[in-house]
Amino acid sequence: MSEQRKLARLVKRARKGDTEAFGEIYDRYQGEVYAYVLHQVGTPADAEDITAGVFLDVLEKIEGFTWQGAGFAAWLFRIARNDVLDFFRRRGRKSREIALTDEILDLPVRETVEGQAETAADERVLLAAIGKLSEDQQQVVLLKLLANLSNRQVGEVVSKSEGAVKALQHRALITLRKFMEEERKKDQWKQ
Amino acid sequence: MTGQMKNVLDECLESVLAGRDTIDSCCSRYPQMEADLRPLLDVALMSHEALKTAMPDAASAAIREKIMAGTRRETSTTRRSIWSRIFDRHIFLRPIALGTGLIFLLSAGTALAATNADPDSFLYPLEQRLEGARTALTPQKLDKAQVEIAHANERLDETERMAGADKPEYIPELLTKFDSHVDSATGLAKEAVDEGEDAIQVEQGILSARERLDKVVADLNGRIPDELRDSVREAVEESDQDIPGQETESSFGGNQGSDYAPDIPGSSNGDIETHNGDSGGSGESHDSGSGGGSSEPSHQDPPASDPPHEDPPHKEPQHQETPKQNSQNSGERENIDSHNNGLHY
Repeated sequence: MSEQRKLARLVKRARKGDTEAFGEIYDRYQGEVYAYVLHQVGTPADAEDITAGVFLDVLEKIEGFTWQGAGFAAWLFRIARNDVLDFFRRRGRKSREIALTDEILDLPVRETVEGQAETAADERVLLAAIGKLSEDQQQVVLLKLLANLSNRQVGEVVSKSEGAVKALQHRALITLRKFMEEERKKDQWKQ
Repeated sequence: MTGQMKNVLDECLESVLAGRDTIDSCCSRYPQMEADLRPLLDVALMSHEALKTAMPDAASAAIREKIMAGTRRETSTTRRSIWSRIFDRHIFLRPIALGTGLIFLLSAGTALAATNADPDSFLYPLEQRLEGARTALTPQKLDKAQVEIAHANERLDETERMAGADKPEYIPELLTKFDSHVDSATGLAKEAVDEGEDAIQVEQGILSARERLDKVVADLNGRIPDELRDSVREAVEESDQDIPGQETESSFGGNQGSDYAPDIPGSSNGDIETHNGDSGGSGESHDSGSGGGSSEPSHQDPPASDPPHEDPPHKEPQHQETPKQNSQNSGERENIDSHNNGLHY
């Protein structure tokens, strides 16, 4: 059975009130939703609470979910995005102000092997760079590279066409590449 | 060129992320673009790795358990979780479950503590949403109605606690929510009866919740500051308006319509009066799944915000009293008393 059909069956069961099916949906998506939220709100405790809220929202709304548009994952991440925006609204802040805080950047760096340490350092630089992208570009990067959504699904979440998503992705990757190159040049200067 | 580059980048990225291609194999298909394509794919894959941030196991399990517990609670017809069945079947695993549970409790985020959060707690919105989820996941109408009645009683518990904690500003909203739950329970019971089910237990639950409302409001004597009296009275009156008898063709028995009419000090005309049987119904529809909190977001619409519990409505006192006419009230009460056999649909 294809993944899509499995998911469709799970959602169908969950819509009928099957809590175990809902549990499987939670297990399947919680990691991606948490990471998606964390990279926007910046603090693990807030990300945990928002993630819980997202799945509670899903619980409440799943009865009315229909297989239209870009499918369940897009619907779920749209809820997640709205919950994040709601979080910022309650805090009276704009999302761009606190994305990718030091709390994420200060996560432990793997330094077991020299090469891995270098990769981890690059990843930290990249995370900082993602935090500096425009909000739309950031959303596309998170939804495509983290949540593995298709262009159509990303478009559904951020209310943009597939063409616009491709363009945002292209510009975002160019910006990230330039940022990485500049950081590497700075490192070379220091050495 | 840029347009073509966007498409090639997108195609390669999708196939590389899906494991169908490598960066090398993709670049070999587009040698003329490799100089631009490769660094972008490199940075995309590196971002893909960098963004993977695992939720701490304890938090993940705690949130899961909380959601599952929330959906199981008060739902006799819902099947038990696979985990509880596993632990039941394998008794030797229970100490592990207990230990793990304790670790979750000690290490999880604040979501775990939301249960029983009071209205003055920042966790209250989460608590409210859990309630909504519980109701939404309860499959049978009568069970759903019982859940609503339980929530209505919880609002009264909270009202008592807020009064005891000298935080009366939360009380009007709590009483409005009480009304919303009772209204939902009444609607669900009516639907169940229309479908041929026996709703006697729900009827009794609604009646005792209303009786309890009377007592709670009476106990508020002396604890409601002047500026909140009108708000409380409005909330109670709104609740009273839901007493069936007109449009729902149902009515309550018991001691509805008795002479009991608690009042709030300063309300010389008994202005917070319960069960006055005001006609016309509430005129509001209440989402049974909302738990008095968020509204229903559609696929297109963003989920609504949590109820603004932090800023309960402070209504200015309206000293121009518009007392309910006793004659009118007594007329309504007659109507109610004439159906003294419980709910009739």
